[in-house]
Amino acid sequence: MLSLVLLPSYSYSEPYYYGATGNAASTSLSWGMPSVLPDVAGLDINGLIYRYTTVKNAEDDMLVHVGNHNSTGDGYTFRETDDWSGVPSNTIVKSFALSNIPSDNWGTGFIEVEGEGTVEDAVVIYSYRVDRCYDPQSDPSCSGYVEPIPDIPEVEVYDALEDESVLEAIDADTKFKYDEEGNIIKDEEEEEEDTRIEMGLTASANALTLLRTQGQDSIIIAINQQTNINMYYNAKINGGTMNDAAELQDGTIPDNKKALRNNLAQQILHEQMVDMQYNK
Amino acid sequence: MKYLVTALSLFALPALANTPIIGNVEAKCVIQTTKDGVYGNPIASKLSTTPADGGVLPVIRFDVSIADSYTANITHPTSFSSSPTLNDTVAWTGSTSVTQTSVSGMSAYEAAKVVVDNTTIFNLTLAGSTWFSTASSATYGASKPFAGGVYTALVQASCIAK
Repeated sequence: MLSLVLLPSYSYSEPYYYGATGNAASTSLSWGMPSVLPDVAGLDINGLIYRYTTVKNAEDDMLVHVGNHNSTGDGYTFRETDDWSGVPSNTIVKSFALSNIPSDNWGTGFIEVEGEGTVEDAVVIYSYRVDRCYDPQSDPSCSGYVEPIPDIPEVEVYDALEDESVLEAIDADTKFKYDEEGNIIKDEEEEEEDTRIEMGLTASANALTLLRTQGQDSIIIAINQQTNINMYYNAKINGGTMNDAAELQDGTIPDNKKALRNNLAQQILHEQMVDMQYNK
Repeated sequence: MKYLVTALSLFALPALANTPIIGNVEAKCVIQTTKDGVYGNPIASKLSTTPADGGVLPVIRFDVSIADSYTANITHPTSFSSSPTLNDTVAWTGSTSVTQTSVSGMSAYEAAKVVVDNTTIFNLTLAGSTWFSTASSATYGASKPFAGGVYTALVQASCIAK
């Protein structure tokens, strides 16, 4: 009981998924593995099943080789030979468990007949395993996954104050005079000339401003005239009269004796004050 | 103190134990039904598992892990295990053959099989798997039509040690 409590807990996720190919020998007794296996990284083959039917005379010698060349073509990754010599035709089924041989090691597959006889209805199926963490970056849940850092382009900062062309263009004289519109006054004559023009424009602008005020008033009046206020006058609020429903719970309201006493006290004080006027 | 002495004397008694010996023998011959058969009804008076008659041949697989130690005895049916009431005789025929092998040499089983009455005996001389299929046919007496209903028959397969 104690050991059960102390058992460490951890989670484990299977990094593999499994599958099987279609019939590699469906169209031919020789096949290329790229056309049979899915195009994924980290795939290895863990099993093979084949079945075929021989057509032969019982007395004939016949060998049937089923296998795959290795990737370099100078050997075999898998090879099985069935000796049908002296036995009648039949269908053979064989399955093999393989030790997860990487797909890169598998070359061309084949069913070859040596001797007299033929092979029909051949079926070759590979079962495979795919390591989905073969590239750890393919899934954030894979061990070894590193958070990708985006490529930050190197930006060359342009400093205009270090640009010789800009420095040459900058006027060293900073004592400028500006008119009201922010334009630089280049010389005295121009300043005087602008001033005169400005005064003239100001006078005319004032006159125009007066006219413009009137114009604005007339515009506002015209807008107001266009405003339909009848809808406000004709508006009705649904409702009625809520009558006062005052009700006195108690039948009579007794006199406040304390107030009476207070009034009498006030009266006494008043009389004393009046008497003081007459030195009583 | 008396209690302590008593307790010590109890622990000093000789220990006794019964230790079991367990042996686990794996089956060296396993029979699996690969496919159930189906009777076709090509004519009213006939039931047949032959595909040409609309039937399906049952397939039985024998897995033998040691060579030349067993025979496969397969008996095709000679009666229905369940059927509607029949009031006439039924004529039975049947046969069993090797349909698939896991070793090419097992093809020789077919030629070497022995048929005794309704039982076909195969000498399993090689280790591996062998698939057998059994054909079965039932014809009702005097070509009378079978009564409507479900008919069931059983193929008996056994692995007999030599």
